[in-house]
Amino acid sequence: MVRGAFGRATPWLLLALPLLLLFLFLLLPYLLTFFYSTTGATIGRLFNVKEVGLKNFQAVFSEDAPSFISVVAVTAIFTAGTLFGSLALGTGLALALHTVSAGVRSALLAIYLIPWVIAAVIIGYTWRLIYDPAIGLANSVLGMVGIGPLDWLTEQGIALAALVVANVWAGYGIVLLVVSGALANVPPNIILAGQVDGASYARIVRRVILPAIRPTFLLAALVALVSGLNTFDLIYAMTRGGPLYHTETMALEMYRLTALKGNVGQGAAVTVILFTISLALAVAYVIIWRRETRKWS
Amino acid sequence: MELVRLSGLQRLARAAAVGLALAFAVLPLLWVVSIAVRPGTQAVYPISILPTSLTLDNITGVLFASNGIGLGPYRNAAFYGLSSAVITAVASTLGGYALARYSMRSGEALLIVILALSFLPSASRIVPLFILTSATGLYGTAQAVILAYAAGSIPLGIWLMAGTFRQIPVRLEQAARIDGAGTVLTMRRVVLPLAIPGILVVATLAFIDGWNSFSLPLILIPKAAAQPYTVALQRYIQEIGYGINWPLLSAGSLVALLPVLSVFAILQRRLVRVGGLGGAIRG
Amino acid sequence: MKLDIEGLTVEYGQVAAVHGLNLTVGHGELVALVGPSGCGKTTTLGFITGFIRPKAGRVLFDGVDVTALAPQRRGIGYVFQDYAIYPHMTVRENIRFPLDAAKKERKQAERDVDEIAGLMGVGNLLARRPHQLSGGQRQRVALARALVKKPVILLLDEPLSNLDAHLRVEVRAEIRRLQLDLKMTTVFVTHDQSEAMAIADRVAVMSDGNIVALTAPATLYTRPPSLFSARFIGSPQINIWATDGPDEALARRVIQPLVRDGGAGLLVGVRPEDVEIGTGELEAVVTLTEPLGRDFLVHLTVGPSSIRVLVPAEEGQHLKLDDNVRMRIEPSRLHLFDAATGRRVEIDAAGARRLDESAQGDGGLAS
Repeated sequence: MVRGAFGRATPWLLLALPLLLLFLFLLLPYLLTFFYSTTGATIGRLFNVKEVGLKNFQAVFSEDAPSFISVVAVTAIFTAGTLFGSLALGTGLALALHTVSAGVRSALLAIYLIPWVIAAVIIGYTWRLIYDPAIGLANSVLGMVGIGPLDWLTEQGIALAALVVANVWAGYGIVLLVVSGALANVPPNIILAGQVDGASYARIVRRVILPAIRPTFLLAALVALVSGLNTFDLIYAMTRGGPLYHTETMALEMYRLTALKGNVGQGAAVTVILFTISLALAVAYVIIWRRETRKWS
Repeated sequence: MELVRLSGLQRLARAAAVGLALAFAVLPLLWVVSIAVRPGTQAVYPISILPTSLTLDNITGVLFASNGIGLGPYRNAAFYGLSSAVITAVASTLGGYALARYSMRSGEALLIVILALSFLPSASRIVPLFILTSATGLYGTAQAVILAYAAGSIPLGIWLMAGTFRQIPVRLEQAARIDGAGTVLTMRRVVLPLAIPGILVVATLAFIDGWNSFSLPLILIPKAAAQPYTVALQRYIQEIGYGINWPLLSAGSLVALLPVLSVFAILQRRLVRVGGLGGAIRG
Repeated sequence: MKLDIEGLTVEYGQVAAVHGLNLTVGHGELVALVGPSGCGKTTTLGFITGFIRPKAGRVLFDGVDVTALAPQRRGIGYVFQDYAIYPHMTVRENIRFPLDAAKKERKQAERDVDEIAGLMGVGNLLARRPHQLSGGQRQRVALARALVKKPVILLLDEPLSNLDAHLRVEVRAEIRRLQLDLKMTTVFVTHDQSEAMAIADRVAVMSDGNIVALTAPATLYTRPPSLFSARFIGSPQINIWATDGPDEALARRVIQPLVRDGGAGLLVGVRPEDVEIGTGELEAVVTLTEPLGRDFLVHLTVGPSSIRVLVPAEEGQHLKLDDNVRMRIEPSRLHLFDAATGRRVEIDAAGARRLDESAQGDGGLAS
């Protein structure tokens, strides 16, 4: 209805700058990566590269220190741990806060959300300090109850779990925020109706509230999944994949192959795998999001 | 009015859960503060929970001493972050306005592609951006870093701005036209003043993203003098053995936290409101 | 300033369609566009302002074609239904905005603002913000903003619909007084037929993208040119019976004194206040009485047909359910319409039919 100065072309003129930036610095790099994943490019040789087909993928799969199976397993455990940890903590806390008054809730939310704005690498340093065998808070607390001291980040069995705790700390705030928003949108009347019908609070949560926020919960889960899958800064700051590749995820492997080993082709191959999984999850996110917004509009 | 009437036991459980979560949320940061403000001689095993004396030596050390990283890395991060914030705000305002006000057949599809793009986290961009900048000769330049940051923040920015503009009634723009205002005046006097809160949020989120960025500058900026604090602070970590200078690293982290925490404190309400959307998109 | 719209055609899209509409508003005249939602009233306004690009049609101000002119160059005053007051500006800044846009000298602009604000009775609100105003105050600010630049034409889009009922009548009278004082060429859009009747020099009844009646309010009521306008204007609604169909017996009986040919293909209408109760040869049964204050609305049946009658309260209160009453309809009070086209039919002294020419377009049974 609004007449633009340049008629039909007006919206495209407005979109030119953002689309150009998105194309050059978001889309084009990914396209290049797909191309480089089939070449023998190295850090020193990015031009006139040799076409090698799927050899990079084969090389990545047959790598033995660390083995690709181990990288996938570490990524899966780390991601699953992050996912369940932040969903459980975020949702549980949101439910607990749902029953307090709005003023108290928003004040508490602000505190819980602090990690949201902190650099992941600073979160990594923070938790590395917590886990420090000599001056860490973790061992101090355990020492008070007579346990430890533990080598949190250098003990093979513990390091990954320690990382998961740190990453949950970094990520549960978003789940809390999103789920709180959804809870606030649950019509109070259906909760009141549930109480009038004589249902217990636990039953109302299970039968009325959780079904109502299911779509949001799904979206939050997908966000947590993708961010867990792609965590780099935090792990790099805390363990750099150690001890002995026991915390080496695909995101770190991608960096190691490219920057440390100098094999751009292989790094690109891992990136392609990670990108494809993330993209599939992104598409799932969009589909769910569209379906739900349609349902409610 | 309380929505749900809880039993005494349920209240107790709720208080315990909220309290434990508060401790979990706050204690790690307080520990960083406590290490940062105590003399280095007290940051050794066995550690006392509370420092017995306070000092600013670590903070001044990081910023000014010979073994500090100096102000430069913080200035770099601020420069990259602010530049990205400006570019993101401009690009998102233009794009958001186009998508909110013009019904293009491809507009909705575009919004959805942008939503999907915004969903891809920065880690998967490390290698692609390294390849792109190397291939184009932008490797190591500030422009590359800034534009890479901005491209990461623009998708969410466009989403938020499209939402902002949709909340400004078209009628107001029509009223301005009727009142005799051309495009420039309508934008400057009517549309943009009403969009300022949204623009502020978009710019703030972009600044925070840029300020916090680590993996992109790690791989895109080889020159130490151009690196942001996130990369520069690594000098306090020796991977072999336990050579970590915790007092200085904690002080450096604390300095890095101050800008984002103050911005967050000021804009907390607005950020939380868009966080429902923003958070759901940001990885 | 005289306003002409010629052959306006807008295809259905985001707005309601309009098909070949013509309208002339004379200098200082107030024409009300009235019709149900979706009939194209707002589309027509959008065309006058320039926000809507038509498939065909021209708009002329004093004979000058302004169709290609951008909205901001047309010099129109417009009051939006929701007032569209700039929320971030004070009342003073709102009213001054059109003058700023015209780059008027600041001191003179401030004087103009004070003058129009005084005229509109908002002189004491100039420092306030829009959110501190009541609905009626906003309305006045919107009017002041529209008038401050001395527009060539004033367009009012449902300006009263967001006001309380009692305020509506008051503001309506104020707008009319102001418009007469300023001799402002005005188009007033409303969906409320009584509002249109009360304020306008002429009423244009719109239906399905066209004007189906365009006459003075009084004529529109006493001699509705089409079935659609007969039904749209007047409350309670006019009684309509077809001479073919279930109401045949009643319809043919009441028009018997008028027509010779038996009246095939006609629709017969009579307004509820034009039916007399108590005498006459028609026998009716009361099915419901509704007290409306001064009058009673009485629902009756005559055989298979039903009829609504407005009777004074002192008579109405004696009527009870299932009472048998006599009633009578004066033939001169009847309105006849052609069943196929909906146009008004006049019967001459010889009893022959003649189509009324003042009706525009067709408003047949379909509407």
